[in-house]
Order: sequence, then structure tokens, then C-alpha cells
Amino acid sequence: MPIYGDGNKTEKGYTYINRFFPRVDARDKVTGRAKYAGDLDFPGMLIGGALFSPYAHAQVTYINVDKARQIPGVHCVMTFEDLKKEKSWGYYTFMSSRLRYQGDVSAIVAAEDWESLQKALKSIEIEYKELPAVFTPEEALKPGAPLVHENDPECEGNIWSHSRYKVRKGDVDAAFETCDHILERVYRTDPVEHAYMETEAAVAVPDTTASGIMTVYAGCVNPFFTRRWVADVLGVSRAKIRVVQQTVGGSFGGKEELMGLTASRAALLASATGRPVKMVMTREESIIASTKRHPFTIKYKLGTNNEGKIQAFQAEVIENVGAFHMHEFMNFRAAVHAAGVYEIPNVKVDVYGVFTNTVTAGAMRGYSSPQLIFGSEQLYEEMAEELGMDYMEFKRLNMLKQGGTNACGQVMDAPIILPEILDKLFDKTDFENKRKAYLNQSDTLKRKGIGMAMFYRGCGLGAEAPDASAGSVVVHDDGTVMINSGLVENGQGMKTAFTQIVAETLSIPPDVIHFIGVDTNTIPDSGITAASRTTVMGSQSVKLAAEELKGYLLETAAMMFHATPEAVELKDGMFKLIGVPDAVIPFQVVANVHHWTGQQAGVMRWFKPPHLDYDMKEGFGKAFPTYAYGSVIAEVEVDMQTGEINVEKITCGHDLGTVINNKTVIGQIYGGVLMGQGYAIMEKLLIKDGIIRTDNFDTYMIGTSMDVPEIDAVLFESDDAAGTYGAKSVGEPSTEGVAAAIISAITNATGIRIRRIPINKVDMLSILHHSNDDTVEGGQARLKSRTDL
Amino acid sequence: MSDFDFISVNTIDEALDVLARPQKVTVLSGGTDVMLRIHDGRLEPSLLLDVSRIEELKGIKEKDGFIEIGAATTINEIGASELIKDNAYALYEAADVFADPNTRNRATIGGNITNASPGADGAPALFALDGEVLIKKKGGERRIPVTDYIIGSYKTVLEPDELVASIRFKPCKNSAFIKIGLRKAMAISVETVAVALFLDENKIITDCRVAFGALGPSTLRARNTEKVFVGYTPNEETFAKAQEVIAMDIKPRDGLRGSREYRFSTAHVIMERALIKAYEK
Amino acid sequence: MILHLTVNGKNVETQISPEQTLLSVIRGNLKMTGTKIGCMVGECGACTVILNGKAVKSCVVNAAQCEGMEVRTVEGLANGEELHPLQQAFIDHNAVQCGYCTSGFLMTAVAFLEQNPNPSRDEIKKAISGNLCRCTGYIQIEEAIEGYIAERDKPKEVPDNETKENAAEETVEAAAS
Repeated sequence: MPIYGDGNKTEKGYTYINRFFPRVDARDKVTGRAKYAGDLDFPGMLIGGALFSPYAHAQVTYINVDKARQIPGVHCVMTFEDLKKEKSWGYYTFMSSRLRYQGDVSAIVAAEDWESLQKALKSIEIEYKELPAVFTPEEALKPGAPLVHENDPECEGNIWSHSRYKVRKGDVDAAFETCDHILERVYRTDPVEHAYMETEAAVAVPDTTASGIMTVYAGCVNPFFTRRWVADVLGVSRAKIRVVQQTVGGSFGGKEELMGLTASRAALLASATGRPVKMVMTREESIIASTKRHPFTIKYKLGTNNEGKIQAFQAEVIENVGAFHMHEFMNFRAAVHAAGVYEIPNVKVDVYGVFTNTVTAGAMRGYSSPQLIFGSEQLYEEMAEELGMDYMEFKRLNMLKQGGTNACGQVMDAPIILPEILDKLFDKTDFENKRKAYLNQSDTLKRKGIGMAMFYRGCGLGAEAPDASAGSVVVHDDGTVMINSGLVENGQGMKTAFTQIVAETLSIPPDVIHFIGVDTNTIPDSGITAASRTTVMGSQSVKLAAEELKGYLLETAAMMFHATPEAVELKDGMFKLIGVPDAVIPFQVVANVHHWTGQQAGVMRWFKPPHLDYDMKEGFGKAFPTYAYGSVIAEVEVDMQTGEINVEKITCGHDLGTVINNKTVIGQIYGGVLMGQGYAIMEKLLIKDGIIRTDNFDTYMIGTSMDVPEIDAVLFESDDAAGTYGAKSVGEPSTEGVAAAIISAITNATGIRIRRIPINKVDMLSILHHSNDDTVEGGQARLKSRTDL
Repeated sequence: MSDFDFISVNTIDEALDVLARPQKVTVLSGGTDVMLRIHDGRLEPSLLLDVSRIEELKGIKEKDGFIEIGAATTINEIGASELIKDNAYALYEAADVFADPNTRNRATIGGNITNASPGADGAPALFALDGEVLIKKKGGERRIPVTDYIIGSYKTVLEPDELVASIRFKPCKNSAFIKIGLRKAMAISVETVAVALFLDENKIITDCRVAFGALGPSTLRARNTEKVFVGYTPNEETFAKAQEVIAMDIKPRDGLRGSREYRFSTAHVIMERALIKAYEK
Repeated sequence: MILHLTVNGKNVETQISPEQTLLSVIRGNLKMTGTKIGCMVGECGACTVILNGKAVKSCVVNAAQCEGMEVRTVEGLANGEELHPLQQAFIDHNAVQCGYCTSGFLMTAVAFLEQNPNPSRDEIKKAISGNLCRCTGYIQIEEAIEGYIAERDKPKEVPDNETKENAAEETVEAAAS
């Protein structure tokens, strides 16, 4: 398959996509003019804040806010006692007397300024009774364990019943009977933080007109969700709430739950005071109360025959979801992807979440894949070792091929370009030679290693939920074009990609196109901007709208040419009479006539991908419209005396289908690689008894410029009709295999299996020193205590 | 609005006058630590004394056979000084990995040792260089070894009416500093080591000083370990001996950034590496 | 107390309290929101401004100490609608994603380039190591800084025919990129 920018550039023949176009929002961002929610100011605006729980699990036994209300500058203090209902539509509590994790809130305050706000929060008289708590699924599943939620129809003990998803293919039990080799392993992953640079922020502005109740300006990734939170807390209809999305300072899947809660709490205070209220989370509040990447415990059982062909794969995936959860759909994705990009005749996967009194888990870039790819790719390496086989030979033997069926029985009818990706990457990195050479390193001080991971990702939401979205295109009388979508810009470059897609569809230069941005009063609920669905699926609706609008414009041009629409074409901003060289009318002239003759100047279209025949109950069928393939090669050096892991180079290849904007894609990959590296060797979220100890950037480590490895990103293009102009996902694939590849490289360097991530150099040294201590988890027992520090 | 005051002065004498007042005065230089501690409520000053405009407190010079650094000299000024690079390489290296480049524009060496964070990156180098702290107060001054100045986690012997004026040490041609952090820049140390060596013409070590940072509540000198190397060179035998002795000197603790075990098992490793680096300079 | 500053070339005076940070003066008192709040502990660098020629993290700079000093913020980089060439380079090299860290990186880079006009790639990497970015992986930011230097050092006046050739080459490159 062609490689983008490799000399033999694809012959896709596009004009405005498949190339670089500067970000449409960059000018505002480099000048400091872009307004994030925290930058907004309204006359009479108050500052809001919340009283978070000092305990992982507690009951408020006494609360008195009289003193807090007396603090000068304080306008409003509200507690759980003032709520119509504590529990939100999204499971979390707006405020509560029962504090189920550190991120729970018992009171909120609005004040003139930050100082009086802080004084008021400190002046709230409150007494807590600490309750017995559970922090891990193991603890939570013990008989008689304290319950996080009692009498809750959504719970079986501490198991969240809605979260059970499965995949079933063939008969694993029968297959294991006939297997020559069976391997059982447990892999674990710990939570990590999104670490978006902007914390959750919202300004709620009471609307005194008859048409509304509240306008909320928020840095949200799903303005329609935010609207739901606010309507819920105020007890009013959706139509009374307007949410305007501000520039978002990063999401990576986050800014959903805590964003909704922040907007709701600001709205409560605004409603009570009649004044605008701004609520911005501090970094510490953001880290303790926002969701984290789901911690997984994965229990595998794998069976092969003597030739190394996998006969049966069984996995039990247990998630520590924390105190609340609204991401049951993730478990569908997890179930489908648990076995990786391999053809296995018998598969049984069960995924479920367990409530604990610890930080909540939510969507984060990859949405289960980084955990599962780490676990399964290591598992396959272990199995190969068990068989005395080279692991690449093992992986290639079992790799999914076009025409085969994946774990949930979906027939893979589109091209699978994984072999080409592997060949290219192996060639670029001299993978096989290095890997073999590194197995025999006499130099004990610093050892080099090379490792790999390969993976695939179902594009879009798949059978998880209707992957539907709205898009609108409007032409103005001066020839400028205004577009909008129900999906949003998070920083990923969505506005630019959509602009290029509309430019391509209409065949007009991108610089006359203006993207509005979401205001919930202007466009229908299009769901969340997540799952790397935006460019692949979400942009279909603007493309459809642009195509329809183009038809109307061609009619106007045809009228002006005194021709039929079929005789007219629109190319690069010019209407042309086909076959008549001089018959040309500029786009803006036609647009002007279009307006003054009363032609349809705007189109809103809805796109819903074809139905997928997937049986959620049986865990079998067509799960996703298409899949994107990728591989990552990591090269590391491990200092055997200090545990320092230096990632020297990451080489990765991704199946982009069609590259919409090359520099945006590359930028996503670079950022994704660093985030993936952090997940492997840096980002330790230390939690002691449910309380997060690493609650700011001085203790929670994300990579700096000095930590970035050399990155070689190879962009493969393929032909796949499912996505817009053939585009596939990249935002999540860019990060999902990185940790797995780095861990594979560490094993190559040290000969030691790492079965729990993230680790840092302190853990690495401990593993090196104690690798023989624990037979079950290969030295990982010590890590448990480390993580619970 | 808070209820404390702010005074900015231009001379040491003016500063000492202010410090002599009965109220609780907090000296503010670069502010990179003080402002943090005010923000999170650990520090509640009644008067902030800005010493950043006192020229007498700034600069690096050679004087009486010593290198003297004004207390309000920034870490970047130290990192850019050829005098420091030539005569106190350990301190130069510490300045190079101290926090991050922009923090180094504000943070000062006097502030670093007076804040006395266990992980202060400036302190181990000064400990190894046998630095002396010049402390002034109205009507008097005293000079004490930096090893006696820092006495615990965020604790020094500085009296409320005193001001750190400068730090001095004898030039050392063979010194080095190594830091272990949890990332490659802008990391608070898991542990640090500074080594200063003096060699005779046969390259035999005549004086050896080893200081560790971040291992325990405060920076410390490994006095028993140092002795192992005097009269020898860094080699397998002395290293083996040092590894036996080091437990007498260091009592690492568990912390957010590193375990006791990690700190203990890597301390001699980075010490060996720093010794070799200093020796071969 | 009253604080006097020169902010982006303009003299300003404003009432402050002694414990206020420079960041809170810029955002709160002066209502200039291009400088961002990220951590308030002097780590992330989103609040970076240039104080008397040096890049500093304004969340840990005491404002009262800045009396009479010159402050430059991201709002002062462009000359009206004409962007500073480094801002343009950030756009051209896709160094901006969510944009929240961008002003901090720009201010760090501007101050750094004033002190070291011809840095190596490693020096650039190090110079920006006190600014955190979660989106970009930093590489395109480094490329933007290098691109700015290359653009700055391009010969300004060249013979007509050569200009045309260059222009033609650039078009080809642009099409290929």
C-alpha cells in the first residue's frame, strides 16, 4: 500500500484534503485571543467553588454553613440539603452527604472573589464519619465487603451490572480440552490522568428572557451532555438550557463527567444568585475528581496446538471503575478488542466493572485498547516463549487476514494492510537483527532492547451506539461559507479537517469557509466527540450537506449559463460550463445571484452509518464498520543499576485510509506516542487509601520536551469506503500500542516480563531485583504495595 | 485582600533593619518556593521583605582564595558562570538540571538552601564543596559551614532577624553532580549526589567529599564513605569498600518519588559514577 | 498597594495586594487572558511571560516585586494584525493543537531566541523543557522554532529570476507536502 509522503505519494487526486492546511483556529491561539471558558468575564460575575471530600468514603454527620454565609463577599452557600435530587442522570451525585470518593462534593459556594470563596469553604462547619472503604476489585468482591452503593438496582454487590459485556465465538471449553499448550496469566494496569492543560471550567449565565433559563459557556467535549447535566440539576427541559462550547484546552477523552458536574454546580449557584457564576477547577481538584484511564485486571487463558496455532482465547477483564461510572459502552469495545488482531476460532471474553471508593474511571484516548494491547501482546510473547517459538513467527502465524473473522466473528472483508506495515517498519528499524542481537548482551550496565506491538481498532462507535451526527453548510451572498457540526473541536484539529472536507466537496478554497462551533441552540445533539469517530464518521454529515448545497448552487449557475445543471461544474471556486473554455463564473458571483433569486442557501444533514448486525447479548457479529491497523516498534535502553528506561526511538506505522491533513495526523501521532510512553514508564498516579497523592504536575509526571524519543511515523493509505473520503481513525491508534511496544522492548533488554503498568524507574529496579520472588506474577507483587503507597 | 505587608529594600543594611522588627518577616528573593507556600497555605507571613533589588546580594566573584556567590544570585547566573564551571563543576551541573530553565531565571541559590527542601538541587554541591554560609544580622555576622546551616527538612539555623548574604567555597577542579529524577527535565529529585575530589600529582585522592540530596529529610554528607577513597583512586576495591560503609552514612526513606529500597540501592551507584566523572575531569 | 508596570510597552498602574502573583495581576487586574493558568505550582509553564527580558513562570512570581518592570505577554507579540514571525511559524508548522500551552511556549521561545539567536535543536529542546504540552509531543513546536530561524535568516533581497525559481520550487514542495 502507498505510504504518504514517501515519494510515491498516493494517487488519490484530491485538491484540498490529503495535504497540509493551517489550522483554522491557530491564529486565535497564537495571539492569545482564543477564549477558553476560564477566560470569560461577565458583569457581576461571581466565582464558584466546591467542598470536596477529605475521605475516600464518609458520611457527613453535621453541616452548618451559617458562618460561611457571613463571610464578606460570599453570595451563596448551598449544600446537599438544598438539592431537589442528589443523583444526576449520569450516576454521579451533584452533591451528597454520602461521600463515596475523594471527588465527591458536599457544598458549593459563590463569592465575589477567590479569597472570600476560599475563606467561605474553610468556614463551613462539617463533621464526617469515615466509613469502611474498598479500593480494589479484589477487596470489593470479597463476601461481606462494604458496599459503595446500597440498594441500587444497577449493582450486584459492588459489581456494576450494566457493565457486563461479552464476546462468544466457538466453544472455548471444548477447545481447551484439545489444546497442546495452555497458558494462564494475569495482567494489570493502573489508572493514569488525561493531564489536559486546561482544567474543567464553566460559566453559567442566568437568562432572564422568557425563552431560556440558563446559558452555560463551557470547555466541554460534549455540549449536549453538558446541557443534559445542567437541565437535570435545575429540573428544567433541554430547551431552556443553552450550552456554548468554548475553546477546549485538551480532552483526550476527558472533560465529560467532571465537566458536566462543574457546569451543573455553576448553574445551581447562578440560578440561586441570579448572577453569572464562573467555576474553574484547580489542578488538584481536576486530578482528584476527574476520571482516569480504566484500571484493568485481565485474567487470560490461552490455548494452542503444537504448531503454535491459537485454538482458544479466554479473558476476564475486571475494571476498577471507582465510585461512579457512565461508560458501560466501553466494555463492548473492550470485549471485541481483547484478543487483538488475531484469528482465533474459539473466544470467550467477559468484561465487567466493579465499584470502589477510589477515583472514577472514564473515557481516555484508546478507550480500553492501551490496556488490552499491552496485556495481549505480552501474553502472545509469553506463549511463544512457552512453545519455544519466535514470537514474531507466532504472531504472524495467527495474524488476522482479509476474509478471516475476528474475535466476535466479524468477517474482515476490507483490506488488512498489517503485513505491509510490519515489513516496512521492520525494515526501517532492522528489527529482527537487533532483537536477536539484544538477547545476548554481556554489558550488564546498560542494555538495549527492541520490541513491538501490533493492533487494530474499530473505527467510530460501531455497534456501541448510533454513530449519528448533524452537519450544516450555509452559503452567504458574498461567497463565504459557514459550516457547523454537532461534533466539536477539542484541540485535535477537527475544525480544520471539516473545513478541508467541505472545501474538497464543494471544490472551493478552504479560506472562504468558516466553522462556527457548537452552540446547542443551533444544531441537534450529535453525541460525543470521541472514539476517533469525528473525521471518519462525523464529517460525513457536513459532506452530505455540502453535496446537497452544491446541487442547488449548480442549478443557479446553470440558470446563469442558460444551461442544464449537468453541463456545469464547480472547480476550485469557479463555475464552468463543461467544454466551453471561457464560460466561467466565480463562486461568489453565483452565490450572490443564488441569494437574490431566493434559492436554498443552507443545508443541514444527518448522517447515520449503515446498521451493523451485531448481537450485543450473544457477543457476536459485525461490531464496527471498518478497522484501522497499526504497529509500533520501540527501542529502549535500560540502566540495570538505576532502573532508568530510556526510550530512544519509536517507529510506528498507521493505516490512515486517506490522510486528510498530513501535519495534523503527524501531530496527533507525536502527542500520542508521548502519552503512550508515559503510560508505560512514567505516569504513576499514587493513591493511598483512596486519596490521590500525585495531584499536580510536580508529582504527576508527564513527559517534557526532553523525554520525547526520536519518532518516525509512517502513514499508510488504503482504500476503504467506510469513512469520509476513505479516512480512518488516528487520534487513538496513535497512542494505543506504544506502551505495549515499550514493555516488549524492556523484556527484550532485560529478559523480564512486566505484567503491570505503568512502571517508573523505581519500579523497574525493584522488578530487576525481585524478578524471581513471585512465581505467579513474576516480581509484580512488590509493585502492588508500591502503587498503594 | 490579605492582611500582610510588603517592603522592598535596596541594601543589606535596610534589610537587616526590617528583619530586626518584632513581626514575622518572610524574605522574598526569587519567590519560586515562597509564593508556592503562600498559595497552598503552608506559609502565612505578616511581612514580605523583597531582597531581589539588593545588588550586594548578587554576583559571583573570587575573593581571598574563595569563590563567593551572592545569596540572591539566580541559578541561571550560576549555570552561565565560567568561574563556576571551572571551579565548581558539581554546582554547574546542578544548576543545569535544577527545575527548568524559566524557574532558574528566578530561583536563587540563597533561597534554595534556606528553603531547605530535602530535594534542593543546589545543596549537595555546596555540601561537597564545603561551602560556608555568611549570615548577617543587624550589628553582626557569622559564617558557618553549609552542612551546619541546613539541619532538617525545611529547617535551617537561620534566626528570624538574620539574612543569608553569600555562600563561599574553595575552588575544586574535580567535582561532579548526578541527579535521578522521574523525568529528564523539570523533575524534583528522587536522589542526587555531588562529589568533590582533590588529587595529588599522582592522581591519588587527597580529599574526598560526597553529599547526597533527597535521600532523607535533609542533604547529608557521607563522611564515612568519603574516607574510603582518601589515599586511593576510584576503583573496584574502593567502590566495594564504599558500598559496605555507605549504610553508616545514609538512611533513605520512603517517599512519593522513590522507595527506601530504591534510594539505598542506587545511592552507591550514582556515587561511583559521580566519583569517576569528577576524577576524570 | 499600587503596582506600576510596563506591559507590552504600555504603562499601567493597578491596585494589588502583597501576596498576589504576577499571573493574577495580568489576568485579574489587567484582564489580559492570553496568559493561562495551568497548575499554580510553577510547573506547567502555561503562565509564562517575559519579565525584564527573561521568561518566567508568572504563577510563582510575586507581583509587588515587579514594581517598575517591563512585562511582555502573548498579546504584545503581534503588531496589530501582523503576526510576529514566530507566531506565523507556529501556525505553519502545526505547533498548535488545543492551544492552551501555546502562549507560554511562544513567550519562552521569544525570550530564549533573544538570548541565543542561533540555537541547536538540542538547545531548543532544553529551552522549552519547562513548558508542558499534552497534545503535540513537542516536536512540531521545535520545528516551528527552527522554521522561524530559517525564515529569519533567509536572504531578504535576491535577484528577480532567482525569486521566481524559489517561488516555483516552494509551490512544488507545498504540493508535495
